[in-house]
Amino acid sequence: MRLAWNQLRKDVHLTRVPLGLWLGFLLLDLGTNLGWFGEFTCDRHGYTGRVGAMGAASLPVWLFLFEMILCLVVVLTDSPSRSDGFLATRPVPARDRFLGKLLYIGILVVGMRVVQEVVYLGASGIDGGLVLRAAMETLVVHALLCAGNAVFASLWRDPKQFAAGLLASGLSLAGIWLAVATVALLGPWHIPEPELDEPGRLLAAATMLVAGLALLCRHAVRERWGFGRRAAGVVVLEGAVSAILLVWPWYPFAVAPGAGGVEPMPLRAGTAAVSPTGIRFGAMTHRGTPGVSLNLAPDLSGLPSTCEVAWRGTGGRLLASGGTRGWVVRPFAAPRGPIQGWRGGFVSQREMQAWNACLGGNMLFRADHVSGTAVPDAAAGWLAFEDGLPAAGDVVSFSGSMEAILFRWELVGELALAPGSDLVDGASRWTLVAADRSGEGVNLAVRLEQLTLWSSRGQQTSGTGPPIGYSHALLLRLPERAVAVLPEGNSLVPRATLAGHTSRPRVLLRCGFQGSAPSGFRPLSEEDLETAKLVVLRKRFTDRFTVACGTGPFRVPGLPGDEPATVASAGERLPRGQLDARFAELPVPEPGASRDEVGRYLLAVIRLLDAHERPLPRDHTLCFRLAETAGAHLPVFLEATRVARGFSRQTLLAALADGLREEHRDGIVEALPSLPDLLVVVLERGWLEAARPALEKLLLVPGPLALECFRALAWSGNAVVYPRLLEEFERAPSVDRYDVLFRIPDLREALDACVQRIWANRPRQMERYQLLNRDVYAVALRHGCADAPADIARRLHELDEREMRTDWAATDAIRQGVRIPGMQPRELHDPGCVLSWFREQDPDTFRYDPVRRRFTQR
Amino acid sequence: MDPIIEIRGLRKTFRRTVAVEGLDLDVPEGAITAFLGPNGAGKTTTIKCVLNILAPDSGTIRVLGCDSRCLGPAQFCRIGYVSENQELPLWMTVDGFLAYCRAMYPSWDAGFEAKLRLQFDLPGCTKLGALSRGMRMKAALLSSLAYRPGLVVLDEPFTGLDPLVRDEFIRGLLELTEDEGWSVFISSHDIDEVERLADRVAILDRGRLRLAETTEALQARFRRVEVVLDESAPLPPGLPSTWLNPEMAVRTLRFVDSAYRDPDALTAALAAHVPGARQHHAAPMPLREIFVALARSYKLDGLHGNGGCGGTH
Repeated sequence: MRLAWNQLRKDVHLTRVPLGLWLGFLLLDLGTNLGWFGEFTCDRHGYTGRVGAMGAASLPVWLFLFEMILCLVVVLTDSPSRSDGFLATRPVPARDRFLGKLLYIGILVVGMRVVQEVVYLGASGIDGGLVLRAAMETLVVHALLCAGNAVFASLWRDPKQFAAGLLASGLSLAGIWLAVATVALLGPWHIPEPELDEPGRLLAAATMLVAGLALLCRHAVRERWGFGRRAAGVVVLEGAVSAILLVWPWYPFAVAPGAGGVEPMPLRAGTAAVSPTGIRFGAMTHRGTPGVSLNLAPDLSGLPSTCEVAWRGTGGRLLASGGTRGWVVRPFAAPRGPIQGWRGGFVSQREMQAWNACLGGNMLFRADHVSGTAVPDAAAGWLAFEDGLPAAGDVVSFSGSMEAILFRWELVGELALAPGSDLVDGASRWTLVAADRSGEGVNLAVRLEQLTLWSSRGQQTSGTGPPIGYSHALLLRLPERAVAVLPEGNSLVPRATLAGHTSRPRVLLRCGFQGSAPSGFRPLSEEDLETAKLVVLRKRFTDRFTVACGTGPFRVPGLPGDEPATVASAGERLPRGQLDARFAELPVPEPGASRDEVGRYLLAVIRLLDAHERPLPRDHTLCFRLAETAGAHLPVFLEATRVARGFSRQTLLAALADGLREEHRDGIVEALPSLPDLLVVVLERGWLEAARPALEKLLLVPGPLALECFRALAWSGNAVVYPRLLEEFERAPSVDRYDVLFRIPDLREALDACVQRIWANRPRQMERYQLLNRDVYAVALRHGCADAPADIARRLHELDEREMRTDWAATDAIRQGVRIPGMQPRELHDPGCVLSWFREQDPDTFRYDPVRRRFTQR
Repeated sequence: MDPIIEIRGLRKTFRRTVAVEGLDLDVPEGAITAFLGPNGAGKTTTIKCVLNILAPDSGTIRVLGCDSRCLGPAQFCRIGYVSENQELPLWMTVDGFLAYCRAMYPSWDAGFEAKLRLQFDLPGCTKLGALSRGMRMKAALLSSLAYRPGLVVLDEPFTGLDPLVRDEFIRGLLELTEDEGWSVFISSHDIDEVERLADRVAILDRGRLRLAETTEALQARFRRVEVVLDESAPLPPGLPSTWLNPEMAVRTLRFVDSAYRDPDALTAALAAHVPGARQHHAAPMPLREIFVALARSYKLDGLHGNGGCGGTH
């Protein structure tokens, strides 16, 4: 021990300069995080332009560098691989030498790092248990990092050889992975994707590597291996660890599910009914070879409203019905055969849905995703295979497995809009730093201090990809109106990096709630701001499990996408003749047909309509057929309407309007709050009076209103709905909505004020790829805002020729709001013609014509 | 008495270069053994093998009764090793360096250290890297002698030492050998100094041991011989192989007799091999001249592909 201390003393003396710098950086980092040097603020766009913030941001890099350098220096100075060093002929036992280095790295490098972590977290007032956990995590991660670095360094006799060894091992590792990638691309073998984003697996891999390096070093020193043998040993070790990661993904540390409790999940039963949807032939694979894609729609009935599920296909087989033929479906990781599905993907970015989940009591998913039946267009599974394609006409069924990763939205709490108000949530603290009430809205600066434990990162985000890593959402709530005003894209939280939590645990979020911004319902008054609360929502990982899934037999050519072409696009829609022929083949369900039978019929109809990509005339045979069937199977029709979109939804609504009778009125009114588009049916059938209570309920539902719904509410003649309509219009202005509101005489004044606000708060910043906010400019022109033509002309002069030819948005706005004399109809849709014409005009010559409700030239 | 270093069949190669081949050598205890040889003869390689710095390809070495491959702290406490190429922590000051070394040796003699420091005149606060080569060698010597090792292995220790220090060092080493029975194994090119020191001499040439015997015996059997002939003649053929480097200069034949016993034997040999020898003179040779003669002889042997002409004793 005496000799070990002697070694330690010597090493401290040797590294006194970098050691001093290291301790200085640690102190600086601690001070920065504890705010000793003031606030290094940053917005969500990063640190650019702020020297202080950049310096603070670079601290973790310096800390890491010095950590590595210190370990390197103390090991290489007395490298055990060197038999002719100073200590080679001195009576210092290897154990004392090792102990000396261990003391140095353990106390002065790793220990200091842990102490810094503990001091920071302790001073931040974070719960003791979390501090302990963070300290342990820091200890494990940094101990592994330093040990790995030290053991690798001890393989080489001097810095020069170390550099050569590092280069050799780096190149060999790149070579190994390149070879694996080549094999995966060209060979017939399936190589699973290494899941390195789980801390447990990474730690296990790192531990294996360090242990292997230590054994290699011990053997190499004993046998006095030369550089070549040592480098070869490292290459073999890298290959072994890579093989373990790739081919034999065995990990001793399984990440346990989060402690958030497990919701009662019907999916946990281990099976899920899935329906095949959207089968397509075409160039599905990365090499452009023909393949088949298959969408699967899991049944999510019974899923709790606050839950969000991410799906990932893990494998499957397509089986020929009644035979032994089968096609193996490769998982996504194999480059040539992906099976990939995201259910509810990107939902976390939709703050409104989070809001609905936690506060509104509605389903998190869009209604069509939780209808309780197979969803035709939900891309829950995505399969492609190229070995032995099923031939057209084959009856096949699919069986496979999917992994479901379950999250749950939770309400963290609310913050008053007063600077200094804060909200503590476990390891996170939200503080309102500033609330700027200038103008018609409010700009908030919210500081989030979050201890993002690396070891809990995997639980939240593993296997879900980056989008779901954003686990918080901020909303502004105005209680008396029970609606939320949404900031744009502020759901940013610090991502857990490789330990070192104190390196940058704070993020200053800036979120603007502009009354006239597209995200606002209406200008925020002083009274609004007094009562408004900032709501913080959090998404928590709950569980992950594998679900077996399978379909019944289905016939491949019976589906619309089986054209021998690539993926259907606008130019390859289903022709009208073929559509009619397919319709004729469909068996129309009898009045007493089962729910399943009707569901399949409607599913096929929706697919065909979607493939046709055009509206169907109201007097089409299909519309008649649907109308005849609608009354007898109303519940299934309603579910189908929920999941249909675009032209198929229009057709179903038309069928409902045509085919329903008085006895169906209550059913429609009952479904109205969850399917506002049914207002079209209500209006057409004259059931407005009966639907009034439902309409009032509809007003309280947050979220955008579809145009049909908007129109129906406006035509209801109920003055109670007007404020909501104005808010909705101000939130998402459009000429269509303007025209609806313009026809309500009582609203003229309010509409004028609303448009003036929209115009006054139009985006001043020119977007590169869209000159104008089409809707705002179109509304301004339609309303007759006097300075609109001049403003448009000014912006048009900033365009180059290429942009002039492609700015469809500006073209639409001008065409809708300005009378263009002498231009052919075809030219009216050509941006080059319209914009060139407008740019050549003198804007002062335009005068608003209230009769035509357009600008005309004098 | 058991040898303190016992080398048997040592072979060491560096890729295709044979550095040492079949070396058998004993270093007796309590004596100063000089290890001589031209550049590249394999002296340093042998010493490194002795101290387990290099691993031999074959053969065995026992140092202090222990296999050299198993040398540990207990043995290194009794071995003082100084080499001209030895790595030193150059960033340390002399004081720091000595303090660092002091902690390693339980037998460190502070008084002896003080005495050596006085003798070597080492500045305590200067970094080793800032010292001259000679001063650095003194520091290395001090750190290797202050704990009174029983065996001192020196590889070119006189490099950079000024004559005064060299002289004092040699005298000190002689005293210690005599008083405390130290064994010294020294490799050097400085044969004049070695001559004053060495009890025994071992000469290595191209990895092979050419001779190993006491200095006294060596000097006793080597004579520089000049023979004056009656008339000028070419170099007589058939001269004994123990007559090294024979040369004719008009009427004078010069050679080194490596097997000299007494004047009568020389006279008889001359009579037998050199007809017309009128008179001759045999002079004792210093170690330097013996070494040079042997080195020249080995070189010629190497050219002619003959074996050595000096015997190993």
